[in-house]
Amino acid sequence: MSVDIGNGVLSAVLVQFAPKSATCMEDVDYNTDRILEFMDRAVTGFPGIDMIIFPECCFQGMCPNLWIKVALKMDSEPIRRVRAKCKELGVWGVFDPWVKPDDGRFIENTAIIIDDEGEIVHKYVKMCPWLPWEPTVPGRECGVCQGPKGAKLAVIICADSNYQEIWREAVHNGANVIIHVSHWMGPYEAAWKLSNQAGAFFNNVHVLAANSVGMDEAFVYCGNSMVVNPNGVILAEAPLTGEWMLRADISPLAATATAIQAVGTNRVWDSAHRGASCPDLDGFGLGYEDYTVYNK
Amino acid sequence: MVKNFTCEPHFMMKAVTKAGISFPISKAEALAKAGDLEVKVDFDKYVTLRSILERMVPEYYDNATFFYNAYMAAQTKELKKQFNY
Repeated sequence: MSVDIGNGVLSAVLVQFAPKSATCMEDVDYNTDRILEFMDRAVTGFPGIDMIIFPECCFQGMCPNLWIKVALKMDSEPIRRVRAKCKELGVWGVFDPWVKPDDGRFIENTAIIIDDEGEIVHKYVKMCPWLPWEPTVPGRECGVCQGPKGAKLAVIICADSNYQEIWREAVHNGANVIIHVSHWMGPYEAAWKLSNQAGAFFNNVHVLAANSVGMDEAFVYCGNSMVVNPNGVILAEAPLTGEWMLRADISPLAATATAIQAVGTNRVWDSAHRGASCPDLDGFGLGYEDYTVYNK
Repeated sequence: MVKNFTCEPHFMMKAVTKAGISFPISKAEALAKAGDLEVKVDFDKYVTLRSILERMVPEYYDNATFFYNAYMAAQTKELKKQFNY
C-alpha cells in the first residue's frame, strides 16, 4: 500500500451514479460494467486523481424483495473486477456491495475501501440500517483506515448520517475525512444536505458525500453529492438529478491540525471537556460520563 | 423483465388501519382486532392479517415503529425461506 502524504491534497472524484435495480446477477454485472466505465471516465477527465467514490448500492441497487437474490460474497467477480481496476489505474476506490457473509448470517450492507494496489484495506458494515425497510445486520463499529495524502478515512452509509453517535465514533477513532455513501431518496433532500453539513461541523471533519440518482420501483434518488469542509461549508455540490462526477481537492491534515493546534472551535475536544476554562475545573472540564442522556 | 410485487407493506398498513389497530397494543389485542381482514401479498395472492401478526415475535408494541420493524423482520424471514437463503 502506498501512503503518500505528498502535497497533502487528496483529490477525489465522487461519482453520482444511477445503478440498475438488480433482480439477477446479469443486472449486477451490468452495474459493474458501468462502474468500470466511470472509473475510466474519471481518470480521463481528471488525470492523476487519488480516489474514486461510488454511492451505496452501486453494484445492486435496492430492488424491493428481490435484493435478497443478488447479495455478493466478498470474493465475488464484481468485487474482483473493481479491485483489478483500482490497481490498473493506481487509484483508491470506495464501493458499497450488499454482502452475504460466509458465516451464514443475514446480509450486511458493507462499504469497502480498496487501495491503489487493489487490496481491500477497510470494511465497514452499516451500523444504522434504514428502519424498518432495510433488514440488514447492523454493524458494531465505525473504524478508520489510513488513506492517501494524510487522510484517515472512515465510511458511513446513508441513514447512518442521521445519528450523531456514528459520526462521533468515526472521529474518536481518528477520522479526518468521512466518506458518506448513499442511496438517498427524495423528498428528503433537505435532510441529506443538513446531515452532511452538520456532521462535518459537529465533528470537525471533511465530508465527501456521494449519492445515487435515478429511479427504481420505489424511489427517485436525489443526487446532490457534495464536498463539505470541517466548518460545515459546502465547497462543491452536484445537481439533484443526472449522473455526475464531482471533483474534490481537500487537505485532510487541516482537520487533524485543528484537533492539535486550535485554541477554540475544537468542538470534539470541547464536548468531552465541558467548562474546561472554568477556574473550578482547571482546564479539564466535565467529561462524557457527566452527560445524562445515555445513563437514564 | 421480472414481475416483482412490491406493494405488500402498503396493503399491510391499510389492513392494520382498517382493523383499528393503534398503539400501544399487545399482540393478543391486535389479533383480536384483525378479524377476517386480508392482506394482498402478491399479484393474485391474499393472506389473513392474523397469519402475518402471528409470525411477528414481540408480545407487546409500544409504538408503530416497533410494530413495523417486527413486521419487516418476520417478513424477511419468509423471504429467506422463499429464496432459500
